[in-house]
Amino acid sequence: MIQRLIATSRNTLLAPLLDNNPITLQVLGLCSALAVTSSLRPAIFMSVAVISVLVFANVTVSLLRHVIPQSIRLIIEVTLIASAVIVVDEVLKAFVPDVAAILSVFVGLIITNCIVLARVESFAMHHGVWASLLDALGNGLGYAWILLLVGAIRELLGAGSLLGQEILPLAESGGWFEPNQLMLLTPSAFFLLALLVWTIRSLRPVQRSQSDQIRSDNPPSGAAP
Amino acid sequence: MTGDLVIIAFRAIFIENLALNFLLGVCTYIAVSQRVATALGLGMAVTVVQTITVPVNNLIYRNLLEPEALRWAGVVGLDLSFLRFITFIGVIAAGVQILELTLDRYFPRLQHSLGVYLPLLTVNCAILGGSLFMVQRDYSFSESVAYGFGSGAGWALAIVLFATIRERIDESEVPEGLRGLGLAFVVTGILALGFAGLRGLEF
Amino acid sequence: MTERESVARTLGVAAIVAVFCSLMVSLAVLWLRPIQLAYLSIERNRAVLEASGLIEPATELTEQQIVDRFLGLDTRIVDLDSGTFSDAVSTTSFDFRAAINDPDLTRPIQDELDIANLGRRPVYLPAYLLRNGSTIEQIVLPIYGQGMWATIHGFISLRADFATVEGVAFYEHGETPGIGDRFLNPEWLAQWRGQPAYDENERVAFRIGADGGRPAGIDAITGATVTTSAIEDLVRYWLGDDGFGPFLAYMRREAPQ
Repeated sequence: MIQRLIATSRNTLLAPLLDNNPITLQVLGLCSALAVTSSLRPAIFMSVAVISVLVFANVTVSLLRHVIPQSIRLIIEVTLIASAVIVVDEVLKAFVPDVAAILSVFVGLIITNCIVLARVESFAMHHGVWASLLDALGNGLGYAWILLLVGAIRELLGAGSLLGQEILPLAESGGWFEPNQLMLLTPSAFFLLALLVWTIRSLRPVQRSQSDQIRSDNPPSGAAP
Repeated sequence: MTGDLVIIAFRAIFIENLALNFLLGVCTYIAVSQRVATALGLGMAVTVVQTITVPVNNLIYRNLLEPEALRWAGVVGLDLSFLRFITFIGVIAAGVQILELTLDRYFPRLQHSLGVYLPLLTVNCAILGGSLFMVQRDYSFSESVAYGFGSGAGWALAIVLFATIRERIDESEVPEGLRGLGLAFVVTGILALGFAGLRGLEF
Repeated sequence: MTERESVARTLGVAAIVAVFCSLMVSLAVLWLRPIQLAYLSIERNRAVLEASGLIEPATELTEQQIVDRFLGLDTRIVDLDSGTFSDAVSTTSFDFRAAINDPDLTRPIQDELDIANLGRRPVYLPAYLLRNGSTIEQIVLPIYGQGMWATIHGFISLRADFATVEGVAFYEHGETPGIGDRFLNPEWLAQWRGQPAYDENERVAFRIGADGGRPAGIDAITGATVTTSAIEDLVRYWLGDDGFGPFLAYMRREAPQ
């Protein structure tokens, strides 16, 4: 019994990391994944912000799931999410203002990050608090590792540094590395994600058919409730 | 003056394209671009909603939320700008709902083909993003009309272009793992690269 | 199901959620706003010191150290309309945000003069004097203007001749990370030192980048054309007739203490 509980819990937490990744399989929450990844530091804080909002929204909605009337379900969910986002935005502005300046409007856009609403609608409305918490963490981390990977690659190749520390000696200061400025522009994020999806799908062929199904059956549910 | 507005709209469509330059609304963009017809419909819906919500949010922000906005009501030193997220999303949700009802009443055919996608607009970051950029760039009311229209039309242009290309490449031979989503990213990347080239334009 | 959907219940739940959310948000803002404002004012003071060369960019300093050094400067208020110092506003209660946003404290700028895209120009702005005994060694002035995405804020420092740039520092901007924001690079900012602000005919002479036969005193930033010209425009605006121009002319003439 306990073992089964642990197994389900672990599955709730770990499945979204790779097998059911919100970004590469469900195609959710892309906007921010691409826009804030030109270097690693904003990507880290964006990940933390999204995870916090996701956990807050999933837990509160799960707590309220027997109380919320169907007719105002969506508006309640959006209100909770938006409030959490405001708090996160104010916290970032107070304690890491330099990052808040880079993230600018993209913190506010967590409200419309489809991952959050999708998890709240499809999971927290039907599951207990503990499971919802794990689900939020799992999906948040699944989102985070992709963000961090893309951010790290873009900063390393685009500026020769990680977290602002020079890793590859730059040609302009006597080293050998000529930074690829394309990496700092938005198109590179698409190319990197394409490579990532290609890699994941080559390693896990089962995801190909799954995702095709998602696309042809009901595209809207793939992107939002 | 009108020249400025045309420039704002032009910039919003080509240079600061919401989808290809700021990557906003990309989820919907990837999910709903299998057919040109649907893409066109969705693009039109985004343009309409954007042209309405950005100016409405502009009025609300200017008169109620921004620092010292409530001066006309005798309230001094109040800054409610932190409420903009929740206010804007409310306005957007209401706007989408109204559009849905209007379409249902007067254009049932369009409603039929767009029906499923309309609720999506509420959580489309391009729509909320447009309003947030309006605040960040400090647009006046008339500028926000131009920007709302331009950014919506730019998004529409991007998704229609993308759907056109996508319809053709569906039949092409690409490596298994790249098919579908992977290739969609590559195509968008190339489109974005093309639009990035327009950044050099200056006015 | 019916009970759950009743009007009273719907309104009740909506009200509870609304109260809960507004409490959460208000408390967060009440708690955090002072921290945000304090940080901004420290950053602004730091930029004043960096522009004047009193501290090197990116030096680790505690807030207290910054405040202490900042208090070593003589803060005065400039009336931009009359082009002289003003005692109408107290320096201690001066609120920079209010000074540049408040409709009562700003004037509309004529379109053709508004090269920095400000829309309105404040009447009162602070000037920070670096003194050695009774002589003024430098004067640090606030500058700002529309960048590629958002307003760029900074300070420029002029030498005792009130016509040569000593240094510059920026503390708030929204330029593209990694591309536009390279204007924060200390090596690039160091090129500003010694650049002419005015020519011998008292016309604004500040330029960024080469132009025709004239070599570049300050290099344009490759790949960031919009940012480069935005910075050039905002400096030229604030040095110009609509900005600090008349005030600086007065300083050159009178050099009051």
